[in-house]
Amino acid sequence: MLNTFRKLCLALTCALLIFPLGAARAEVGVTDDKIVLGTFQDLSGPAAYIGKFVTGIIKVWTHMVNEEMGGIHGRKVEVVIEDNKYDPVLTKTVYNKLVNQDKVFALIATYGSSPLTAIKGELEKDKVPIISTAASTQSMFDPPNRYLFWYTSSAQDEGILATDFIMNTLKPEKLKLGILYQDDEWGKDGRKGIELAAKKYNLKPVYSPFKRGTKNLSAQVLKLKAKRVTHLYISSYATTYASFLKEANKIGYEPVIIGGYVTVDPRSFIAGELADGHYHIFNHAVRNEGVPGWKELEKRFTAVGAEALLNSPLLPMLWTPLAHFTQVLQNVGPDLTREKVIDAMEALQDFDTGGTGPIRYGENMRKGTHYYRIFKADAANQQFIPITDWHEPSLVWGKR
Amino acid sequence: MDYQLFLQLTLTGLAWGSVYALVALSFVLIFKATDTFNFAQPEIMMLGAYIGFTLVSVFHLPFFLGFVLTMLIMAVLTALMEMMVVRPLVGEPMLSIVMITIGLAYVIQGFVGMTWGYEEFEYPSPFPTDPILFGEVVISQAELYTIICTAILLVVFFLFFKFSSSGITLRATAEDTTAAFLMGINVKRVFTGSWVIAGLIAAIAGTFLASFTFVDPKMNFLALKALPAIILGGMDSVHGAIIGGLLIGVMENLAGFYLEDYLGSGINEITAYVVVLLVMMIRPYGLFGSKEIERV
Repeated sequence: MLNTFRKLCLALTCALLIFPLGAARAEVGVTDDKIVLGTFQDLSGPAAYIGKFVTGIIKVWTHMVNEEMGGIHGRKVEVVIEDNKYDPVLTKTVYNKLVNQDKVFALIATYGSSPLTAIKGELEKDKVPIISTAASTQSMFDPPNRYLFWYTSSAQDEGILATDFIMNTLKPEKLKLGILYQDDEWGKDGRKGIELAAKKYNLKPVYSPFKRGTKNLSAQVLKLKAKRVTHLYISSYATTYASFLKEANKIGYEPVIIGGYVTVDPRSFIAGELADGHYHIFNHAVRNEGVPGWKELEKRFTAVGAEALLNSPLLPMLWTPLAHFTQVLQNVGPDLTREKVIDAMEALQDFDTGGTGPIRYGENMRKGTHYYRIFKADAANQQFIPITDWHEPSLVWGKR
Repeated sequence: MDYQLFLQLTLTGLAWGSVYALVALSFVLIFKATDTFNFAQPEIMMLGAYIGFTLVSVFHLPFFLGFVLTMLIMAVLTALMEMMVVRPLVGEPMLSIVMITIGLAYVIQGFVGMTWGYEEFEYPSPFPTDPILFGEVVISQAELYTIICTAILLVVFFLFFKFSSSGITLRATAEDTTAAFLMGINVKRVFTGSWVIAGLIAAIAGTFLASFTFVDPKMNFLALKALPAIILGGMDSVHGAIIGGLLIGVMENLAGFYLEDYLGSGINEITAYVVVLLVMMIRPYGLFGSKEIERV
């Protein structure tokens, strides 16, 4: 009897020792049949329209992976979506819920500089990858954070690209460079880009900042006119851009304008024919180009009744990293870990986006966007037409 | 050139100030009649702009018809708001009424977001887009009509409160509700009337503001500039509210141009509050407000 009892105790002890070791081997958020991912979206705050847009894209991606591909290495994806109301404090709370309670493997499709800045420090501590963020500020990838992958347009790149375009393509006889920018981290990145390029080309730019949310731009427009700015880069949203066009037209001010990537937006045409003929910097193909990547998006989104999402030129900005991530998960194989995913993210080069815009990471390179094109606005047809090839800014990030 | 710039900034500032002035006027009308403060006025302004936008852009009504219908709808809505939300609290502490109007503001904000979404829309402005030249100074037709409309309303309401029996009734009710009631004034009707008139003025302000820019769910924040305008002009002064609004519009424009290089890009946003603080130190009841003397 005692012998049997001893045997039982021994078996129990062994089981208790072996079980945790077995559990430690399994990666958080990964089981035999599913991968749990998380995201925080503004579903009821000031950027709720973005949250609605991104949530729609995530649903289409989930459908593609689970229904069309049958999962990845036998695992289906499950995405836990939390409402952060674009609030940095609330973002910390929902981040902790996703990581500690829902035990997600990774976070996907995030955006917003202030919410992301609030949790940047936690990512390294928790070793939870974010794949990827569309937060526009330089601090998202500079300096690189092993767990934070960035994919959108860089305002610093845009400032340099705008100046490159003016100096090397437009080559005006008279030039006074200016920048109208939102006085926040994003706008200041644009200003930094203009400063760097101005140093390279020996220019003295005029800086015209405005506070986020400002609707009355008359003082800024008059300042730019009074300082005789002939070429202007605008780092702000499409509606601010359209407001600028209206105000400038009122006082008969007609500079050559180069808008940042968010001005490649149908809302820029709110200004009507005033929006015609201006230049825009963009890191994606637009739908009217009819590239294979966009055709596939049209097919895929229409099939699941999400065709309304196709109207935003920014669709590839969110879709491309998800498609890239799908390939990475396939490349990693069945033995899925966070660290292996990060290595595979770095290793995957020349991912085929079907021409919607390149994406590439690397060792200590968390900046996924490197190439851009210049577009020209066609107000009559409400379209943006590319007028240059894909190219990098003359001052490449990392060597500035 | 500097002189022209100054004039241009002043003229544009007057136009934006006119919008602040109209919203300030709507605040003051309720305050004068009911002695309470309706914090939902900016949201009522926004609601008016959205309803006008829907009637003209979505239902394709001619602008004038759409505008008249907007006014009718706003009259009904503001009357209902007063009767259903505020009236049950008459006699309760002022703080309770203020809190309920703040709550009303959130409800309208949420309603606008749920109904129209969170994106901007182009407002079908009735004003021709060709600007008008005054020498070297330019003004858009929307801005010009806003200034004219504000000037007309200033005169109309000044005369209304000073000489008409309805205006005197409103003032009497605000002064002492109980005494007004005992004198046979229909206080309930006065309260509802003031909310309706204030709602209509706010909706007109929304129409002008949307014509300058767009219809968007954050346009209510701009109308908050009416608050310093009221404090500057005097809480109970119709012409004070209007002049306060105009002054703030002009000053923020001038500060944005002349002081931004020295004091930073936010200077035009804080100018209104700096001016209010300075005025309050000298005239705590505002430039045109009544000085209350309490006899003991």
